[in-house]
Amino acid sequence: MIQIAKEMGNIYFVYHSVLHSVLQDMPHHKRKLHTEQLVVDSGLDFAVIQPAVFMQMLIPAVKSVQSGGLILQKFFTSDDTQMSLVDMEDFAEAAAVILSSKDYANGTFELCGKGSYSLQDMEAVFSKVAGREVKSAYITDEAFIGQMKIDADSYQAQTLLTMFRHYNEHSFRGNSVLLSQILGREPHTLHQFVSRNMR
Amino acid sequence: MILITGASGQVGCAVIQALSKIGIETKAFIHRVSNTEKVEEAGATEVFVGDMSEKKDLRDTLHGVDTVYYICSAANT
Repeated sequence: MIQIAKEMGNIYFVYHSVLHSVLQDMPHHKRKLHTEQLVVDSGLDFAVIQPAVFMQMLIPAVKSVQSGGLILQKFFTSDDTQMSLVDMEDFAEAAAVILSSKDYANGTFELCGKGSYSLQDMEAVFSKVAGREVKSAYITDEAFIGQMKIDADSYQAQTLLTMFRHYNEHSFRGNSVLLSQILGREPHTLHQFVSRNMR
Repeated sequence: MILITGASGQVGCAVIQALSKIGIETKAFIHRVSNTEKVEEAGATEVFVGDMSEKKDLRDTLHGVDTVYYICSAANT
């Protein structure tokens, strides 16, 4: 695609990457970083957008809590793990700004919500919104593969499991200053996201 | 006109919707014709059904486009 865009000429090429693509122990980050290099070196006007983990990944947890169940999650195995998240609505609004103005050309933009959450923080947010004490349950690798209906040895399965292992061991945190600047307001909090989706 | 690849995914649709809200025209690149309604509902101005691995499809879809949002999953295959 990059090569064809170069042939066509005068294309503003914006690449959807991932937050902290430098973390090379995760296979999809490795691929994303390699593509970032190709984009930056292409000679085209470019932008690289690096979103954090989307809050929308928690929709199944929201549905589960809504029906009286637990927060089923795969991000946390330790009390120390911290996750930064971004609401896809905020991300899309900011991406639209970057895509529609070449003022952002030739830059890389981390799009992340404010702060980071531990599992306890997350349980507290869900409890507050649900109006009852909400606990969580960890989804094992086997159960996750079963839910995804994918082959345990496949690239997809191994990539996702490696990603979750990395998050669990190292946390995955980002900074919200840039997203706030682009939006011209504070990004949505997890509380706002859960409230909106648990109605 | 902004081309969005991987347009039928959650991210693609969200970005099409956000661009549509500010009055910007988008061309949604999709692989399966069955996803046409989905991207049209998100607000896509045009829909292009093609194969990302086919150079001809890429050349054809880039006609009339000044900006590309290249969304391509790195975790699925």
